[in-house]
This record gives sequence, C-alpha cells and structure tokens, in this order.
Amino acid sequence: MEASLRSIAGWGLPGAHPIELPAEPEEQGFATRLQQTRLIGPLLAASASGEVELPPDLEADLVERQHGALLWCIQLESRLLEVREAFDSAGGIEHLVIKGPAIAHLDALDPSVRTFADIDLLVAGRDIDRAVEIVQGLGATMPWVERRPGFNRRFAKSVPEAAFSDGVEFDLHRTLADGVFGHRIPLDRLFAQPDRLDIGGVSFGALNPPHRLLHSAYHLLLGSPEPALMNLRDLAGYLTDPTLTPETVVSEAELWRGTDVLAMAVDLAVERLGVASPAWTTWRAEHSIDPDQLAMIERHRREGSSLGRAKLDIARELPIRSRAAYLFALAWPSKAHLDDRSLTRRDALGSLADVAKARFG
Amino acid sequence: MVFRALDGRAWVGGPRRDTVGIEGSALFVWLVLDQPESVGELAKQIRTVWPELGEITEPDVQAAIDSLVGAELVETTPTAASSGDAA
Repeated sequence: MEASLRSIAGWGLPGAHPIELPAEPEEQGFATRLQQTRLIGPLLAASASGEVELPPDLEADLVERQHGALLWCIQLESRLLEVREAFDSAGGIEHLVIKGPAIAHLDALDPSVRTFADIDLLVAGRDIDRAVEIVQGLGATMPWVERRPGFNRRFAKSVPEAAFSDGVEFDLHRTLADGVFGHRIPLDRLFAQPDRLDIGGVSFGALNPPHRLLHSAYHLLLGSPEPALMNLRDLAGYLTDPTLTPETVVSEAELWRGTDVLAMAVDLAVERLGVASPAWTTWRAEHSIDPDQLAMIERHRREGSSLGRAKLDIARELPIRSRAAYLFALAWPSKAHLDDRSLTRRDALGSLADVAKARFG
Repeated sequence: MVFRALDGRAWVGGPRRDTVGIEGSALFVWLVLDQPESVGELAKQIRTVWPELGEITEPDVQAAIDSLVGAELVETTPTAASSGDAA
C-alpha cells in the first residue's frame, strides 16, 4: 500500500511513476490511509483527468471524505478572515500565511486538491505577544503560558497551538523551524519580499516562491523523523517547477545557512517520489554535506521539539546575553508554565541535567 | 466568501455565516457571476461556457438566482430594462 500512496503523492509531477492502486483498493484501510495522508485530492484529480480508473464505490467514498475535508478548510479560512479582521482592528499585526492555505492557493492545481488541518501564520517577533492576546480575545485557549515572559518573542519557533472551541487550531510561528536552523533564518527577508494570495476577497502576504521551497524543505526534513507524503509532494512540486532553479534558491539557502538542510531534503523528495529534476540533481551531485551540519540535522530530527541536545545547538549561536536568557528559561521556567504542563521544578531541572550530561558527559 | 469545489458541487462559507452547498444550474450561475448581469446575459454566458449543457432557459437561470438569493450568496437589484440584475 505504501508504494501506491507514494505513486499518488507523485501524481502529475515530471518523472514520477504512474499511479498504481493496491490489489484491493476497496478495502477500507486504503481510503483511510489516503485520508490520513491528505492524498485524496490528488487521486480524485488523477481520476478526473482519466489517468486512473477508480472502482465506483471507492470513488464515492473518497468524494465524501474529501467533501468533509473541504468543509473543514472553509471553516479554517473563515476563522482566518475573522482573525485578520481582529488584527486589523488592533492596529495591524505583521504576518504571513504559511503552509497549507498558502500552498493550496498558490501552488496546488486547485485549492480543493490540497487540504490542510489547521492555520499557520508566521508572525513578526515584535508582534507575537499581541497576536496571542488577540487570538485569545476571540476565544482561543493556549495549552500553557510561555516558559518565561518574552521567550516566545525572542527564542521560540512558535507559540503553543491556539485552539478554538470548535476544534480550529492556529499555529503562530515566530520562525520557520525549531532550534538552530530556525534561529539562522533571516526573518526580515521573509517579510520584505512576500508573495500575495487572496482568501475570501482579502489579500494576505505569503512567503515568496524561493522561500516557500526552502520552508518546504525545512518542514520535510526537520518537522518529523518520517517525512509526510504530502510534504514530499509539496517539495517535489517546487523542485520540478522550472522557475525555481538552484540559481534562484541556493543563494537564499546560503543566507539561511541551510544548504545542507536543503540538500538532504532534495535527496528525500527525489528518492521517495522518483521525480525528475535535472537541475537540482546536478546541484546535489556538486554539493557536499558538512559532517558537523549533518550531525546537527540528525540530532534535530531525532529529538524534534522535545528538550534535548539540539536545544543547546542554538545556544552556541546566540549572543552572550541572549544565550544566558535562553539557557535560564530552559533551566528555570516560570511556575505558571510548569503548572500548566503539570511539571515540577525538579522535572524541568532533571530534563536539562539529562541534556547537559548527554552534551558534556 | 470562501469556497471549494468538487465533483460538480461547490461549498461557500465565510465568517459568521453557515457554509452552503451549491449544485446544478445554481452552480453554473454562481461561477459566471463575476459582475452584475441580467438573467438573459447570464443564460447566454452559461450556454457559451458550457455548450454541452444544452438549452439553458431564462426561467432556469431565474430559479437558480432565486435559490442563490435564498442562500444569501447573491442579491438582486431592480433595473429599468429587466426584472433585475444579479450581483
């Protein structure tokens, strides 16, 4: 079944294998996996274009499931419009729409092909505390308060997910990746050269295409140990876009000090989906991965957002006063933060001691 | 308003309003209605864009507009030349 899902993830991309359905596509597990991986949209689009023939019962089941996913996307975008109104009423919050909605509107064949589960916004650090207050004012709740006042604005990748009572979740991001790789991204550049998208008649800023490609690579490689098929499809789509050549993207990756992240993500997308991207394959053959960066990337992938050695990598690249504030917040979170997470002071110190032992022991 | 389309149906929603589904002739009217138009003009546009639908009559279009008005997706304005423009 996994090979079949990979072939669907590559549908429509240059060089990708034709779609192969599993031997028993009507078994319930297949539709469920398609739904989990958000690949119903590409499969229905392939069916509509005549490139694959679906058993009628399966097609009806998939249309029904996609219908539910699309209604959810409408609900998410409607809430986004409400949040935007509140941002504007409060004098403005500098933000960009990232991930699902931006990809659906700017990169997918049609927004109905690319579904998503929540709303992600990149918010300028100086505005992030106000953005949290505004979203809370609309009824969203946060699972816990920040580690220390100012931590979200200065160091966090994102604020913990803001959840509304109807299940809509907003991720307010300060940067595009956790840890040292997120710290290295020149955030001002993202806001200085945005793309635009229209949602419900309102114009939103979004990352521009080279930034979207890089974000996609970072998310694919650093977001989880096992890359999600939809994220592979997103990145493969950028890599096979003739306007997004290494010449237009690698210089930006150098500014992010992330060429090794990009290289490893390119490997993943090309290998897993089998897409043909000659320019990127040539660049990849000429790019050697630095062993220190490789170790850092692997550590990051292993540990994710949990408190581990990867969290200390960022400290080495911070100016001394910021480093002290960062390490202090890791070691000594506020009582409110600990209470919200049902942790004790001893738990927090114990976790950090484990990290320090792993690092220096 | 925010919308998505799939398999000959569309759904339209937005802040502080219910999401409604549109299908059949109402969907074709909604898709061509990018500016205020008379019923006759809308019928003509639909016949041009989707000739395979066969004859689309003005009463068909009027019924579709009525359903869209009922769903608060469009509104009509009276004009001197016709019974109304949809917008």
